[in-house]
Amino acid sequence: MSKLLTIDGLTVSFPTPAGGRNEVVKRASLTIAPGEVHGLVGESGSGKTMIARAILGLLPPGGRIDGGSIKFDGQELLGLDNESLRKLRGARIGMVFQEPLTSLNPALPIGKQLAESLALHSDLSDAEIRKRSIEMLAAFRMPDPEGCLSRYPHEFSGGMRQRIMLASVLLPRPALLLADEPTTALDVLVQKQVLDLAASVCRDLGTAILLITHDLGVVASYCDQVTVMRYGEVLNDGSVEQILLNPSDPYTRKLLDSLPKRGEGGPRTTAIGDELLRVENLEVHFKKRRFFWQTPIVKRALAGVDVSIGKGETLAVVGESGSGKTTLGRTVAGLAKAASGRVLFDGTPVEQGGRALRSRVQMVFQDPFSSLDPRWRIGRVVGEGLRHTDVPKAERAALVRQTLVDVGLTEQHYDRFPHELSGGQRQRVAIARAVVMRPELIIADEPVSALDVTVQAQILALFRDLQVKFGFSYLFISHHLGVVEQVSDRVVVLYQGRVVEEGTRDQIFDDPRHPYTRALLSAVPDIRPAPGGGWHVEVRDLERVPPPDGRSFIEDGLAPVDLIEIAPGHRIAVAA
Amino acid sequence: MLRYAALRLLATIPTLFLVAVIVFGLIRLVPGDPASIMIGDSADPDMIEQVRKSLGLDKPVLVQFFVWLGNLLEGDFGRSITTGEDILPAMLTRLRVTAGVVLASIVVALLFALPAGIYAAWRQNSRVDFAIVTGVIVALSVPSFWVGILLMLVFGVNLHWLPVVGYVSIGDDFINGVRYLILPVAALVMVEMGTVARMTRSSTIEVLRLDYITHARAKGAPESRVLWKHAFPNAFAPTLTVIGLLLGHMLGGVAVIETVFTLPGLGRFLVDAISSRDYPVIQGCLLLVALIRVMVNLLVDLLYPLFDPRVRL
Repeated sequence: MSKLLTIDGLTVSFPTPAGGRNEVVKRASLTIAPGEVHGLVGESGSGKTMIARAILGLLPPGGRIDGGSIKFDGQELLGLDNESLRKLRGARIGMVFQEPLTSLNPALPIGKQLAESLALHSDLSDAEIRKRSIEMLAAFRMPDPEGCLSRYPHEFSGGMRQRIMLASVLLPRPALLLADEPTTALDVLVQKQVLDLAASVCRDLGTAILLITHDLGVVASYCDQVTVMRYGEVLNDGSVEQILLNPSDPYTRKLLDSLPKRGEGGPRTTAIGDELLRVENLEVHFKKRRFFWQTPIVKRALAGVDVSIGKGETLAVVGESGSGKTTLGRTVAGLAKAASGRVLFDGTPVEQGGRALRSRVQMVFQDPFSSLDPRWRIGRVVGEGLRHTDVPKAERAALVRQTLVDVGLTEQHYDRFPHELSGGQRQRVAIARAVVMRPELIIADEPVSALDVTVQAQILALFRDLQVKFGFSYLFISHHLGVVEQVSDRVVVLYQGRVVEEGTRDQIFDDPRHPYTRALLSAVPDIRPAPGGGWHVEVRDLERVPPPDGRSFIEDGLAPVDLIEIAPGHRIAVAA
Repeated sequence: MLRYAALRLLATIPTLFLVAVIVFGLIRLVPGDPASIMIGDSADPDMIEQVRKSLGLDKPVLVQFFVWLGNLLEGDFGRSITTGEDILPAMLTRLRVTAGVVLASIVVALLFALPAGIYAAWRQNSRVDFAIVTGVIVALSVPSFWVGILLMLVFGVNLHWLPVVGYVSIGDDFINGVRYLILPVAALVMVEMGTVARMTRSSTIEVLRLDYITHARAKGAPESRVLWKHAFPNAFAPTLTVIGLLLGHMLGGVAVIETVFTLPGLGRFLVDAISSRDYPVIQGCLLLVALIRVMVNLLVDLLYPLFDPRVRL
């Protein structure tokens, strides 16, 4: 079969501050057949995005193609004049980006943005373009496709916007779709929905896809062929079966080994002690008003939430964006105010605990780039909290240095600035900042979500080692089920501000009951080691099981619920 | 939106009241008594006392304030102590002069500064960008009265193309009115162009980095379309705020320029009133200035949704 896209020996470089050039793509080659779904995998900085940008001739400023060739449909793209390239863009090769919140123009209505590439590349009448736009939105199952045209991007959720984005790119029926992490910013349920729709529409149109992602599960379940990159070089290229499921290359194997899995790091060595944290019937509201004399609009973030954490226990809180999981963490830390209900830490209400209690609860945030003050040296960042403790001044520096070693950094990092460190190292600093206080509870809000999979595995191992060493309890907030399955003792599933299911890790992952938990679990394709060597893709297909005693699940998150216990410690929400 | 505008107008009442209190109080803290300035330092104390009485300045300050406020509510700003003019019509005549100069200069400034700012952002770090940025710095650093004097020297004194001092209303004599406006407008345009071009450039640079711009290019849109259709509306919203601030600031009187070109504008009216401690005129002018600012801000806020549909009023 003739190839649609052939990249051969492509080299892309960027200028370095020192005046030299840094090659971010090194003699990379890959081919895509018409209609094929081709995965391009690699960690951040591997050069995968630059390949897609180079195909369209849209490298960021400073980027330069130093050699190689890109042939699309028999035509060499490198050296092509801007006008001819412009005619290919959008018409024959479409591109979607990761961030649905910034890839649609906020100032233009959806209809105009959909129509744009067809209007640019064809002589179709406005009425015909409008008709096709509506058809395409309908193909992406947008509710009220006709009404969508006159609405603006901010009126839609992230998943909807990404569907609109895909519809707009696929409208001119391109032969090739470049999709750069198209679903990474989306919740798991939405991710599955969007990918399923995109795959089916592309199949109907015969459009080939270059799917750039760091998510091996996505590649394994949607792609035919896969290319693995590291440090700008193509390491491996072939069918998913051969490359991903039976890898021979050590780096690919390392990537697969880094995927989180249950029981990683051996059985737990510490016993779970008495109750440390108890949250009772917690309700948290957000208020918003435009003029000071108006009555505020109340938005309920959490309602009737009961959870507890024992000493040395890891409780994971799972849910999609907007489910209230971050608010729960902030309320426990005393950073958000409860409208009603109680948060008891070691028997004392959090709001009465004052500063002494603050130092017993520490937080680790998601983004290691914005959670550290760029003007502070690491030693100062980590040591700041100690000023409020009774650790003598003379011993603080030594304690900070020791803690840096404890989290896997070196004492030399003490005098460095955050920008000198990698993302993984910064997250270690953020952890050190919490650990140095010797807290009893660490609230970790998506602590590994911004990290590459190999770094993620190291940080998760660190969390575990620290727990064994110091006996911390963790409130581990995450949307990533694989990570949760690896680290948690117990799991709470939040949906629209309510607990819908709660149980031990094994109860939740082996015997999920609530339809929402089940949907979450079946949306994630897992790559697991196969019994006979190699790996296989496991997709859970869970049938709906009705709750016991003739009770029923609720569909609407606002209706009142009861939590009933179906097994020791395993509770599910049913209609009251 | 109408409801929003009405509520915002209501919310200006406390603001204006506060302004009235502050203006009234501050003026009385300034040393110098209108009566003694009026008749001169050598006058005998009895006479000064008599004048004070006739102006109502002998009453307690609080009484004076409420008398003034009461009259204001009836639309009466009072009369000037020095000239005896009715203040409201006097202010409005002078505001017309200031507004003419300021609005004309803003329009001219936008015509040049917006394209310049956008072009500089599009070709960031190029030679043209460098030239535009240098021009902006010069325009912002050179005082406008000095530019005014230079313009008067070159086009008025040396070339005799345009009149140097004075003012003719456009309404009375259009051609001559325009001739009298050209130099003051030109002097103001410099600063405005500098401010607007700098803001446009930086907000366009921000916008050009965003995904939807790359996406527009990936759709095959030509650069002119990318800039004007996709970048400009988004980059203009922050610029609009700056234009609003500038406009509110300048409509309150461009005293220096009005003095250089001897224009009978609001700014000069206020400055003259301050030097003669003409309390009612000062109070009236400052209140009017505050009202203008509030209205311009409201106008900008009402225009915002046109450029940023995410803003709902």
